[in-house]
Amino acid sequence: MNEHGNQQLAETDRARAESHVARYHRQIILPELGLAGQRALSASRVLVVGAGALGSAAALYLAAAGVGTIGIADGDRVDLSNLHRQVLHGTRDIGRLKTASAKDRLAALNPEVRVVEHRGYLDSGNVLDVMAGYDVVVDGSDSFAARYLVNDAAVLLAKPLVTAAILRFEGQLLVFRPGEGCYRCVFPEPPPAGTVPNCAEAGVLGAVAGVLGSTQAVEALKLMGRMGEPAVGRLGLYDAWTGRWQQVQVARDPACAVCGDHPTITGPIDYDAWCGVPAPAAGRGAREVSVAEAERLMHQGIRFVDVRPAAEYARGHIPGAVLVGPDTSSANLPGTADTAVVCVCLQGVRSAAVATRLESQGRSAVSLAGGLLAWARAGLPWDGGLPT
Amino acid sequence: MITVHLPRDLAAEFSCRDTLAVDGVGDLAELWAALEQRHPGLGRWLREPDGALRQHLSLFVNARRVAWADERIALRAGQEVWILRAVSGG
Repeated sequence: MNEHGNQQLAETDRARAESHVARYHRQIILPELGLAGQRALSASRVLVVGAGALGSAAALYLAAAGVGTIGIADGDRVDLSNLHRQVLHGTRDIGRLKTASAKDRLAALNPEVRVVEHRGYLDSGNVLDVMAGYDVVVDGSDSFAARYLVNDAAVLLAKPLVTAAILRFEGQLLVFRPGEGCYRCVFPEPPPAGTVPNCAEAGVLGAVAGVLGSTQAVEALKLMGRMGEPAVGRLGLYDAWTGRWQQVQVARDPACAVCGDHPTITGPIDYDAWCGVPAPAAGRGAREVSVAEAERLMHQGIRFVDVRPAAEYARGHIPGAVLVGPDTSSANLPGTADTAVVCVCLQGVRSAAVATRLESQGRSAVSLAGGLLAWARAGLPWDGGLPT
Repeated sequence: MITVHLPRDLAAEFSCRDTLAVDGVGDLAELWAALEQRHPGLGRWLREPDGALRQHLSLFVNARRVAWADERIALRAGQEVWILRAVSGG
């Protein structure tokens, strides 16, 4: 290369360096971060699990901050119903793989960042290989199976984990460094299948995801930039309804199945099965039916039983539903032992527990998802007043 | 007085507030009984058939997680009890 060529290269490098400093200037001048911290961010690799609502907010801020490599793991495609909260994606992206949409959006925001697409969902077979290539994991997945999968893999690989979850107006945030506890220490078991609705069923205010996802980005940046005091050892609870953040202390549980003193989980397990297999003692496993399916069952003559106390039943109930109360057992249900029933309560929480108990007693029982409120919202008839 | 925080959807299920003030309880057993009396079904819903807190719920007393929700755990006036369960939306 001649002298002119060398000069051009030097000018290009200088221009790039100036652009780099200008881009991050407002955070580089933070003495707690500085140039050294910015270099640490540029050299860091973060895996964002889920390019949904949390992943959108987190990934955008991580890219804007100049994290060197951002991996995005998701197997879903963009749907119109995603767009009120999944701000990585736009209307034109509907139908595209979320990882591809995310890569384009992050590249447009900051071309200095290397975005790696992991197309497809993480599972027991691939999670360790994928996660091994990253320094920090940000979990924005949308199922309990994925949350426990990501947690266990992070523990097994000794990766810091920043995890959050949202529902309706609430959010939960947890940060773990290796050896300082894990998600299982706080929530050893997932809720029984069907007892905690997801965002599709119960709704979520989109901006709540922005709060939690952005907070995840902050915590991940603190870990990678080696600054501040990571929110380790605390469960952050955000209540958008009241605008309050509250914190409760968490700690490593020596009895934890994966990070405890005598772990029983030493490799990824079958998380779908673990989160969904009926376990009568834990009240897990009741099959839920939608309002439409319940209506069909009613027309087929399947008996509805109301598992609430009498006072609640008196305020309003589904026509024809028989009051059996919360302590009902297979023996005192209407019909014979092989008669199926649809269990009903106000929102479908208690009925799921009762249905599971009845199933464990050999009775065929399902629970009306969303309960009487869902029934009323569907415009179906009531006896009595409106549900309260 | 003990302040009890419940998951919002669970509170809605029992038509009660998600933050409850409970007087005159000295331990967890008395708290469960008081909740059951005030909102029939709630105290029982929170526990397994053997009386233990349901496995998917996490209990925090005075902002500290209690790994084993022993019914004999003492409660003092002014303390806060959080009953939490994980959510999965992302």
